[in-house]
Amino acid sequence: MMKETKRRMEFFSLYDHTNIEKHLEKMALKGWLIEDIGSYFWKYQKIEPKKLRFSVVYYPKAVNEGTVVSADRQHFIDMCTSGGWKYIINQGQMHIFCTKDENTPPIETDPEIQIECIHKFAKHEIIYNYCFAATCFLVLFAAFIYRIWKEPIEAIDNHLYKIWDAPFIVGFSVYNIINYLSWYKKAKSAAENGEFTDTKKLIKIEVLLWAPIYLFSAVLEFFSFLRLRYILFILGLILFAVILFYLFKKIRSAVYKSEREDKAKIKIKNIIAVFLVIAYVAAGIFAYIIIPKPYTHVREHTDEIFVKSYNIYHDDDAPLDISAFADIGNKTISREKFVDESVLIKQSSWTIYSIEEDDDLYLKYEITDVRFSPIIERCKNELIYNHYIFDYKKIDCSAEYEIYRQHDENGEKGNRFVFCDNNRIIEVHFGFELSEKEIIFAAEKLMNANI
Amino acid sequence: MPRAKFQTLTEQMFYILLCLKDECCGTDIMEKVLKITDSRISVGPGTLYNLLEQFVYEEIICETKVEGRRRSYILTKKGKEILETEYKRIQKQADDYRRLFEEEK
Repeated sequence: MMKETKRRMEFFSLYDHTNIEKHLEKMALKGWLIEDIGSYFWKYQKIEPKKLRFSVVYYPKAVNEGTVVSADRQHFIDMCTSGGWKYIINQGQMHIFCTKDENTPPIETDPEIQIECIHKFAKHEIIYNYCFAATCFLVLFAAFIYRIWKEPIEAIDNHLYKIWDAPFIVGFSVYNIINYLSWYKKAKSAAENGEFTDTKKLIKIEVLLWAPIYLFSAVLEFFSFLRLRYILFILGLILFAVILFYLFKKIRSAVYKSEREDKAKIKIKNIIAVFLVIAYVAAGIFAYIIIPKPYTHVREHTDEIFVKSYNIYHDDDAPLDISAFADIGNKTISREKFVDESVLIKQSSWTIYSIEEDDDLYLKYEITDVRFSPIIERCKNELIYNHYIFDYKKIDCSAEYEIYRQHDENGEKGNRFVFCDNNRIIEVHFGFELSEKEIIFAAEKLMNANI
Repeated sequence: MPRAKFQTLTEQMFYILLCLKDECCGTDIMEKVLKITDSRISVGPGTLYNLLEQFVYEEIICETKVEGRRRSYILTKKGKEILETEYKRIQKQADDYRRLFEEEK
């Protein structure tokens, strides 16, 4: 059976009426008539292939969407219909008409009026929207760059790739605004001489840029977590978004069918949209919080006398264990691992401790592997030279690596160390005293560990 | 130089206002303009709709009645003055043309 409808991804800027008209004419010749216009996917219905003329016009007073039209807009549509044009569909202020008759006078016969209407439409759809997007992402990107400069590890560790799209979004927003304004200037001066100006084909380049960026981000995200619970989390969020969107469409359609002023309908629609977005974000945050962190295998142990509970982790692949420094006998030891990575750095940390009463055996270390060597100095600066709490001093020893030891304000030696070379920085906190030999042993073990 | 709004009229504006000397609706205007100008000028429905809205807003015309989906309009006093000013301007242009070419003969 032949398909009765089809969807196609279209990349037209909505003010590009010239090319939209040409495109719809070609589609009608192939037997497809436009039925619905989405942001990127346009829906066509099967018709007998025929030659049709299309007219894309902008009616600035159209504030409602959906199936119900206001009296004013109905009057506009009626007038076009009485001029020999058949109304097909609208997308906000943009209206599409067609006619079989080659001699039907055009809907727009005054270029100045046409430019005025397009500009009212484009001010909102192009200029305000893209300015808003560009400003938001510019601020976000500037804040992120500032953070990278101040605290490379904190910032980079926090999934750098998530911000990669910001310069692209700013770039294509500016590109779209400049292109539109240059067309508008040209068309306006031509209109003063009574001439119409065709619009340039300006593809929505954001689709071409966004798609690979998001795909790449998704792959990175996938490999950095690679845990079923996270995949389920993401799928769950997508499903929830689909449900909310469906619900929103239903409510919106009910609101538009109600007897209210157009502006009131828009207000109600916007309030519902904001409410649903808040619900979505809240659900996402809640779900993220309740999902256990990756790389942890938790077993709860309850001490009935002291009514205390402990989490005992069993990540037993630690490159340096507490047992290398002390006799652990039959003690219960918790080994908790956490790994996080971005394209620039990878951080793996272990927290190893005895849960026995009054036992302070404790070892914690975080291994930071820098994958992008030019930032190593800034990382060292953040972790060693200008640490926000601890004062580290380099110690002279026979090790192949640089070793720094924490000193308190009175010059007393602490049990926090940093080992580093040009690729790896390790922060270690021992819960017990060590000899110099043991420090060098720990450094060598951790610096050579294969993570 | 952009034209100050409705200080001078385009041909389409002129004929729309001329049709509205007597009460009529949008569809009638489109037909009347074609008839008056012997199809030399046609006013597209989109252009007509927007101009009617602007004329109403500027009180150059007013809505007289709404019958179902048909809306009828007529020139106001201000509209008549604007049309007359435009007529005099065009007539002056024609007079100047005639005078100059007649002097040459």
